Amino acid sequence: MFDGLIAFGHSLLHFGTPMVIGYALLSSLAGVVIGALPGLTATMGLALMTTLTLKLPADQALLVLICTYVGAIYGGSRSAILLNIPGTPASAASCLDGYALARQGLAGRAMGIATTGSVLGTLIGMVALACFTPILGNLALKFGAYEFFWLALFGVIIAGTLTGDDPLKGWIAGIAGLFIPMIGQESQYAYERFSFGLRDLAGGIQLVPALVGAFGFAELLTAMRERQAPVKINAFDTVIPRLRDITQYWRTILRSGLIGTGVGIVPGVGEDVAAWSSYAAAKRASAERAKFGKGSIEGLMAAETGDNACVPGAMIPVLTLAIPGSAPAAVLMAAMIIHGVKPGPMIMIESPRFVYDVVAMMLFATLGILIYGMVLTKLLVQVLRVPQHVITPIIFVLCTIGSFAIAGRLFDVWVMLLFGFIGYGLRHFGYPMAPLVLGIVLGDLLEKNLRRALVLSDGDLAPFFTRPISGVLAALIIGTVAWRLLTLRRRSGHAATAPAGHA
Amino acid sequence: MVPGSRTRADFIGGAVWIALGFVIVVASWRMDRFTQMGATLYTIPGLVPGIVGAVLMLLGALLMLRAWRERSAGVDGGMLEPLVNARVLRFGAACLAYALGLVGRMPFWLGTALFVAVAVALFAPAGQPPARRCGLATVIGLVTALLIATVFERLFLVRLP
Repeated sequence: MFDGLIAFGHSLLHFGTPMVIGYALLSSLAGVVIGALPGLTATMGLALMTTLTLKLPADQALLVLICTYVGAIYGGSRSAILLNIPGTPASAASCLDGYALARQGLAGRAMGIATTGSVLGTLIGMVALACFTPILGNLALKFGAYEFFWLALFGVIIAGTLTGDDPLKGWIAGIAGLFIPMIGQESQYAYERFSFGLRDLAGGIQLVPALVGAFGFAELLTAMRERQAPVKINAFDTVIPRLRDITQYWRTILRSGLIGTGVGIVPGVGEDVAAWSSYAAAKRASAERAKFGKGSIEGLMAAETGDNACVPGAMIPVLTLAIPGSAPAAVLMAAMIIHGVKPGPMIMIESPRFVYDVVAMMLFATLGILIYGMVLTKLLVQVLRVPQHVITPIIFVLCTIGSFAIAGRLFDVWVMLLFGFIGYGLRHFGYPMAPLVLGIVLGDLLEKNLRRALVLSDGDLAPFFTRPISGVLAALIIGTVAWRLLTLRRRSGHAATAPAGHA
Repeated sequence: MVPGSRTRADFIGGAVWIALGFVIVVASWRMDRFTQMGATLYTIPGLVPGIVGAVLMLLGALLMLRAWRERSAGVDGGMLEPLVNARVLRFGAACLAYALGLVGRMPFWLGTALFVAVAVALFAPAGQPPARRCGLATVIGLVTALLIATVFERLFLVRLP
């Protein structure tokens, strides 16, 4: 434990230079702005910031990205409270009570509660990140090809099940995502697959252009469908968080923080699920249940604590298993790989200090959102006044640069465009994007480990089910799929009888 | 495009996934097996994509089946907005023109200024007088382009197209 504290102290000292603190504050600010603007999500922000940080040293680049991530998840609460529009999907639960409080003339107080919840949630997740990463890292050393295959599949299936309205479409999006990394040369025989003789395609589809397209450009197209009404922001009271809110709702804060962190650890489930789960748990346990949805301080606190606690939670599987806990974490993992950091089971052996570096980065991000939450809120909400028709083309320019800069190829810009149009179409027809992203990130891991496992067992499928961890993961996946298929069938069956009953 | 039923869209969507999965399976089957290099069934390049294609076909079939059952039962799946409207078409076309036509063919700042100015002018609120709308759009385009080019090239040392 003391080793961990010493390593954390070293990490804080390492990052404690004025320039690095400046990076942390600026990137937290960028994150808050990205999160506050409806239509721009944390995933998109991270994909764009990956490009900006290409030339920075790895530790500083990741600091920038983590501060952006935390800032964006927090920033979503601004538009949720003031406009009843979640800035990011993670803030959807905050609309319920945040906007209700704003309508009662308590928008400032609501934003103060959101700041308190977000800061404490991140801190709770941060402690869990520091404590559980070494434990899970040691456990991950027991993982072999069988377990990694199941984990990759688990991420896609769980993301497909939980992140959209329709698990079947979620699974389809996830499986389609798994196919994308199979385009281009495969690793064993350098055989070109699905490249149609195109030289650019032989190298495969780069992760960042695909993600910028699916999350960035597709979001812009979706946002441009409707003309945005002029934004009217009402005056608000003080945004300074109150100590009484913490002492009164400490149980809710602790519970939501733990739920958020736990949801973050589960591969593929994101901040939105963390917020809704924390909100639901708080409502069940609350003595003021009737106030929920009508301006409950406890409800808003639970949602904001839960979604921000999910951020450090999502980093735990990234660091120890190289399996992202959420869609933004998937982009962050891709950025780590671009910067030469190898997340995975060996991290606690090869570079244990990196884990504490990440904890220190989370702390800087938390300080950033606390400062902006208390001091700059009045100024920051002005960004919501920037008209949609001005911000959208500018973001598209950033998407173009972001796609090009990774490898300096115009081909990657075309990939971004293609994935943007595909992503827009998929969204329109109700396919969630998170499983697609998880699939794109995890496809390579799934393929390599499936082939390796089959070679090791000489085609025998038994070890996939008989090894203890592998068996548990297989049971979870099969159970989830069977349960949802049963519901699917029942829904269809029910549908078939319903009209007759009413006729 | 006219609005369509969600159920019908799912039915067609399922068929598209089946077709895509089928193409992947066939292409995977036709891949080199590398038997001369001692490859086994478990190491051939087409194995995993073939499985992924087959799963995609299965899920597509499930989607079609669900849509068909809902439709034959007369269940109203709700109406779906048209895939594209005039705003999406205009914005998509502007983005295509920028990314395929301007980027890489002229100085980055000029292409960006043109794109941003045209997009801002196209989507500005209808009530604005045309001269004011165009003037404002030009200023926004120029400022954005020069700022982005300078910040990315000088500050972040990122190569621009």
